[in-house]
Amino acid sequence: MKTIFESSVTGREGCWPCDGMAEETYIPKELLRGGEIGLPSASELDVVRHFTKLSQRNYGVDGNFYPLGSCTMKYNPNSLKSWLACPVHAPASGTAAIAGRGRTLSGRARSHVRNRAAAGRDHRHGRLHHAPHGRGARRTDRRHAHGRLPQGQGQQENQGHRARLRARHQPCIRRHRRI
Amino acid sequence: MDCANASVYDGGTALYEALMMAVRKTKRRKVVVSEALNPIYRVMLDSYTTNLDIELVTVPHKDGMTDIEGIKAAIDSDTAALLVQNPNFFGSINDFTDLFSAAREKKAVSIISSYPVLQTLLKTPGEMGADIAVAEGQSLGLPLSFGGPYLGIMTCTKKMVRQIPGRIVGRTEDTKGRTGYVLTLQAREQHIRRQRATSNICSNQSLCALRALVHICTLGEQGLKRAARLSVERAHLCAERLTAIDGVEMLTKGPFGNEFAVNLPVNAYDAIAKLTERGFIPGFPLGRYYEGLDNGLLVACTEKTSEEQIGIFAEMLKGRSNEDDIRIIRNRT
Repeated sequence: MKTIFESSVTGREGCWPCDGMAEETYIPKELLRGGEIGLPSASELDVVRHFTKLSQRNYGVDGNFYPLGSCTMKYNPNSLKSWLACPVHAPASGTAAIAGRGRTLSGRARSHVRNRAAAGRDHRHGRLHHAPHGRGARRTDRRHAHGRLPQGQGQQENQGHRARLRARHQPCIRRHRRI
Repeated sequence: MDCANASVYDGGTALYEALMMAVRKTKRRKVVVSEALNPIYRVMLDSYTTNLDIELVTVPHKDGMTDIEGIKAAIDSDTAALLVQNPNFFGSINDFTDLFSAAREKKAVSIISSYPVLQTLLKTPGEMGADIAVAEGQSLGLPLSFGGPYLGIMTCTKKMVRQIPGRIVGRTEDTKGRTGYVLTLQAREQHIRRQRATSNICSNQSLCALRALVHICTLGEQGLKRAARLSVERAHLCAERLTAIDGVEMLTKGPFGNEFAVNLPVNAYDAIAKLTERGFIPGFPLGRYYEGLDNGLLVACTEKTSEEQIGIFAEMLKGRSNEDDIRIIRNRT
């Protein structure tokens, strides 16, 4: 099996999380490194194939019967990985705690979570290894943002005027996330 | 660097393990630490070495820069290692080649903590002549996750390889000439040497290391360089916008990468609290770990920081901000 270095072609990129290229480096030349680094650069397809093939060379839980380690899986099921990668689940980071203002999930964010889970889409981005049994959550709940059901569906469940005001004024802390 | 191990828990643990490598190798008890090293790592070093017979000598920072002359002066014949960080906690970048050659003369081990994203641009620890280089690998594609799991990267020269903890994989050839990989130098580890093992760390962050590896392979050399250059550019833009505000001055002197510190005219805690209420976390208050820097705010920018966010940050800091603008950042983030 080839190493990733053997599958790379100089200049290839698998994804583009940021646009543009800054020309100036702002850092004086004597503090910069010289020459090429020699890191692999492969297309996304090559990377996915490489790591999938590599994982299949090992006897593992994703491909075969593996009766050990189920205790770990009960606390960390594979399907939770992409769900947790969804940025909506994250309250403000630790810096807020340092500043003495820890925030938790607001009501609005929670409905987003329900909505996302119900839709079963979107949180699949970023998964490179598709487990054969991985499935999104079922559409159990069709509430959208602000925790209200869409029009014409169970109107009696929609709260009154006060609750609507409460939902609108709850702050939504979006965390700026570095990937 | 000649060799890397299969990771340790995080950057702070890697730094402590590097310190212990130096202490075991030189059999000396004193370690010189730069105050411009990440203060959270220094707290970790303190906790780890409390009950050990190791003296940590902290050399204060000079205006946010690592005091190279001070560190050189503090190295003596009883120094096992010196610990510096590049870029340092305030963001400023140095060339430590002179410092490391001075350390080599006194037979002290040079340990540097670096930042992997900027390492694609900056002079490498190997080029500077360091003996051990450690890093926190979270920036290589791992989410912040409320403090973990992170990735501790440890690398060292061939001379130190018998002291490095963690798993080491060697490449060799079998009798048919095919390449094979094997866990090697296991005589350092607990299952062979028991209580005399070089370190008691036996677990690693392989899953996080794998994630970092996939991040590197997917972005490729070009992508990583682009991410680093954009981070630096955005940080310089942010510094420009912030210092244009009356009363805000740069605390970091000299060249910096994607992090810098500014001195605000108000207490940094208050500024952070006010901005956090609006849903914007601006940075880290330096007063928490550095005496006399209560107005200092550490700001970091990445390639994901948009110019819009920088503009709104500057406006919020000025005290003039618009609900609509804030909604824009929230919806785009």
